[in-house]
Amino acid sequence: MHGVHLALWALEAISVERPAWAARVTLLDARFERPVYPGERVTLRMDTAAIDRLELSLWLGSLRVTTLRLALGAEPTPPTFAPSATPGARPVEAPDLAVEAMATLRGETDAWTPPGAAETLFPTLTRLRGSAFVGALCALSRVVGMQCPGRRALFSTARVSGLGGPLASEGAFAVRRARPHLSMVDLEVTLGSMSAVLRALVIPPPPPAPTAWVAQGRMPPDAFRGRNALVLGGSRGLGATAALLLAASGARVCVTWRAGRDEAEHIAAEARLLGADCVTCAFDSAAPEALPGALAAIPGAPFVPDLVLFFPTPRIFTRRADPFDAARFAAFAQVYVVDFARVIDTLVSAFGSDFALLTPSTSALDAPVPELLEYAAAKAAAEQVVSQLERRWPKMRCVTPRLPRVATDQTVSLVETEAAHAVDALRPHLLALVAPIAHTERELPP
Amino acid sequence: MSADALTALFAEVLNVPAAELSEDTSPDNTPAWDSLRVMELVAAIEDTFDLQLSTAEMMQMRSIGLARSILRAKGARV
Repeated sequence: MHGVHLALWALEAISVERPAWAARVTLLDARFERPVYPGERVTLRMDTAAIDRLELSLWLGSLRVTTLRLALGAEPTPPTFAPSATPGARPVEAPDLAVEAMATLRGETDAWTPPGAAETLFPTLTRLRGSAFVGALCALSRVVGMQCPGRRALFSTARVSGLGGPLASEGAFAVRRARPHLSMVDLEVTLGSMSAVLRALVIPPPPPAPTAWVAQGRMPPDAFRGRNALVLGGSRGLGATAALLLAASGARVCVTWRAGRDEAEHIAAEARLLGADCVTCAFDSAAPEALPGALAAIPGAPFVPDLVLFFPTPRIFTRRADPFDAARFAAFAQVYVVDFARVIDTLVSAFGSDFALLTPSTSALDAPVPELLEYAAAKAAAEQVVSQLERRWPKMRCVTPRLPRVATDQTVSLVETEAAHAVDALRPHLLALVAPIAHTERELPP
Repeated sequence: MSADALTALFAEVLNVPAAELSEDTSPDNTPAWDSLRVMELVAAIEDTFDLQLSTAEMMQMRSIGLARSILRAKGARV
């Protein structure tokens, strides 16, 4: 949710607890430090309360998510109620511009809110300051999220002055500075007496989905001829690239998807361009018992997987609540360890253990990365599971490469970060699935 | 700008008391120093010292001490 909503929620709380203070707010200085998602429980702390200012902070457990500094005028400001502007009077959805192209962006904006929304969501604040006040602050969110930078924006800071004066329902915005090397845009919004200086960061777009062209010529043409490759979680990222590389090398491929049906169909269509037999199938790794039935429903020859690739994953880079975030670890471990083990057990029960298995691990186990602590811990546990599989099922060949950071939709970053190409990262490990097992010849001692 | 002013800049952007910061302060020991703050730190440094940092220099600023070294190499008086 946008930080402005959090700021309004904090102002509503102040309006209830200290209405005389809320009535005197003339300036709001906000720093949105971390995202908050709907349904999360946020705590408001009053850090400083002086005659002319308040300093507030919002916390998610032990994690500060927002800091607010409020300047208080000498006298209360009477509430102002904005006339309803016409929604949709001007286009608000910004084109997907590069940061460079935003440098000269300017336009109109308005303080429109749905009828009754201000009164319903922030009743005490709206009674004290009026719907124009709520609408003016909501306009900041509208500008950042829908006009400039648009849907890839991260609202970082806002310094809003003139809140004690006459607010207008219509106003303007203009970009003051765009810094492409920082993915950062500074802009100004005015609505009557209100003047706001905003800063937003722009998340780079995710890399495009892999295409047949990416895989063509990168694999021996027949290394996987006659093999049935089950690519679990193959609709995007590494799984999608693996599916195309296997298809390019002659495998019959089944790509499973949980939420990305369209993406999976795209990968299958690309695989068919390579002349491969590729199908898709809905599957949630949390419900492995459905897998044999889903594979049995594949048209044509029976699909008995002799290559299994496990790519399901939660989002890897997410906000952390603690130095070791137990909930984050649990989410990773559920998929990489619990779901994985159950999927393999299900496949062995249905088809036997004579298959090759690839599940990616991480180079963060060799070179620890603080923000990947929980992810790496779960991957370490998964490696333990794999080592037990190999002992328990001697026919099963397991490949668990510790992959470096690979450029996928999971690793899009504000800071340009070195990342391997998915094809280069995966290719040798895919080939290892079918490479002859090396037998070491050793000269026996006399 | 005095050497202490660089620490003050980090304190302001990271929202951490300056007394808790040292040359060894880094993302590894400071939860507030995350990827979003990196961009704010770089923006504040660029504005304060009137220079521009490359991506490589940003990536090398893994502590306040390293940031100071990089800024000195670029001629900033910190």
